Amino acid sequence: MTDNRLRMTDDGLMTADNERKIRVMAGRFLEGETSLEEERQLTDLCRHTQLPPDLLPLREMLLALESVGSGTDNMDVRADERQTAGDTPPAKSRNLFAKNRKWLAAAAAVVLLLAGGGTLLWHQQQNQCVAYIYGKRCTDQAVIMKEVYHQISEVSETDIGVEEQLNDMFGIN
Amino acid sequence: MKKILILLLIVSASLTAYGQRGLHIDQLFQGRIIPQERMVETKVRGKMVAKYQLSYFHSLRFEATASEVKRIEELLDKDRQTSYQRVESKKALTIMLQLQPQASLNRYLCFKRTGNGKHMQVVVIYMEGTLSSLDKMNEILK
Repeated sequence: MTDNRLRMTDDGLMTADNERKIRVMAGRFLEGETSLEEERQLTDLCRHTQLPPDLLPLREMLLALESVGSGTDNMDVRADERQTAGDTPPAKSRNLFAKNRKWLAAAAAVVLLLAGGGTLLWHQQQNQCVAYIYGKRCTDQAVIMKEVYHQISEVSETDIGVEEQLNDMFGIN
Repeated sequence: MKKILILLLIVSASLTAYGQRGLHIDQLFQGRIIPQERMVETKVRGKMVAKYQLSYFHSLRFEATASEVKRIEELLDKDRQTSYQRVESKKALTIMLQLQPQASLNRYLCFKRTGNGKHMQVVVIYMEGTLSSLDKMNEILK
């Protein structure tokens, strides 16, 4: 495996091999195919090496980009740190959420519907007042409460009067 | 999905678990002995019956044959729990049951039939609330 990394000579002069590599990497850089690490190496090399005249504009551009991009590099690093610390959800879980979003929405809707319906039903049952008079529904509170009073009174009348007891005893109707 | 089903079951169970359900007499309240077209059924829950110290009142009034009355009395006998009071005369029979309290509420089942013969007038009441005894009900009614 060949070493594609660029190395400067001690005196800052460029070897033919390095020049070829710079040109290849500059080409890849302009195509947007280089990694951040490669871009850093290329910028360092361009900064400290005597470049042929046709590569000087490239050096200017790389140095300008470096000064502008230092902020964004830091942002990238911070983003990496956040992801490592678990502050943002990993891509896999985000995908899982996106994939099941329809089901989650449906489940949430069902739960809300049940909770709403249940609450309504519960509230209605807390103050229910209804009668079915020979199969016909009646919600007239006055009629219903009259019936309630009548029935409670009727079952509460368990004390049999003296006269009734005597009648029972002697078989008098 | 399984969680939703469990939630559904819990909600439906909590909505249906009240009143006289679980008692043998529930068959009567469900209309399995006397059809609803032959009776007057009253259901009141909440503030309307609060003055009787009740939170729920469910009553049935109907005319019944001797065999139907006998069946109802058998069901009441099966539901005898803590306290039972039976007062019978030639004209009427009254049965009062105090059931096991449920969720700190006292529960009562009352039955009264009047008349002898082919058709008897029957009243069956299920009540629950803070009412401490049926004697207390007499005091409230006075």
